[in-house]
Amino acid sequence: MCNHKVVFYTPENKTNTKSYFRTPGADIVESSDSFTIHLNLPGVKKEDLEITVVEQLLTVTGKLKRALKEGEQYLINEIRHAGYQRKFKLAESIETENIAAEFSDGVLSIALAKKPEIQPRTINIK
Amino acid sequence: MSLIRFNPVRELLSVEREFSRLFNELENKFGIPTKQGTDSEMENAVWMPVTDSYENEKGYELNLEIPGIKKEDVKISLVNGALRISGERNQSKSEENGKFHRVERVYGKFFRSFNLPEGIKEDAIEAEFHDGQLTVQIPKAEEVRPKELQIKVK
Repeated sequence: MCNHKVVFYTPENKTNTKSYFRTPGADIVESSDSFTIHLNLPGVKKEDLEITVVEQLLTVTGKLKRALKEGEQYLINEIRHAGYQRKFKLAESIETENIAAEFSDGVLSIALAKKPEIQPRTINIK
Repeated sequence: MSLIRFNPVRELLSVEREFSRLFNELENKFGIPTKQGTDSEMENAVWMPVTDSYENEKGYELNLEIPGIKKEDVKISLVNGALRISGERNQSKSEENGKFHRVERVYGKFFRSFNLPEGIKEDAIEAEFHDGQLTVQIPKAEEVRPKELQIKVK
């Protein structure tokens, strides 16, 4: 169809080869006028979430606060406490001015509107 | 349509199921009755939540990551000293017909059980669910001090 098919890819994080953040799983759903990214960010508080868009690069960072308290020890430790980070390169066909985000039950949903040019439109017949 | 991700645990479980079926059949041939009530919660589970567990003087704490699930869809029970946590994550109805470019989150039923140690207050277990994280507090029972009885010698 058009070039917005290759909208999302996660650019490699070359500067930080250690990549100590966890990469959260993402679902990307397309509807006729928008894309929605769902990210699993369990344990992150709303105020510890950061979403930035710089030159069509969408970055989501979530921090985890739970650390080992005094007099505590791990019995099971499967969760990496560094937090989450994921980047998405957005195509030019996406409106970066109005991005809406919603966070509930540990899932962040980011709604990305398509530019009017690529939205389907009906043509009226005179 | 629901998408089910490949889960190695599930594969292992199916092997385990096949073996127990074989053994049950064998036992039947020798006249031993099969055990009733299979663990359907465990057998139907597709994924297992990642967990942290802490211990301190007062008790134990479990942190489970179960994002995208409503509070009322999480089931916690204590059966024979084992804490069983189960539930299900479903795809939202409104998006079922959407075009998926990526599906990396796991959908379906989950299950995890923890064998609790002895010396805990079973009645005082509390669970909280915030931001996709389930926190279970398991307090330790106060140590029962051995009673000292003074017996007078007549």
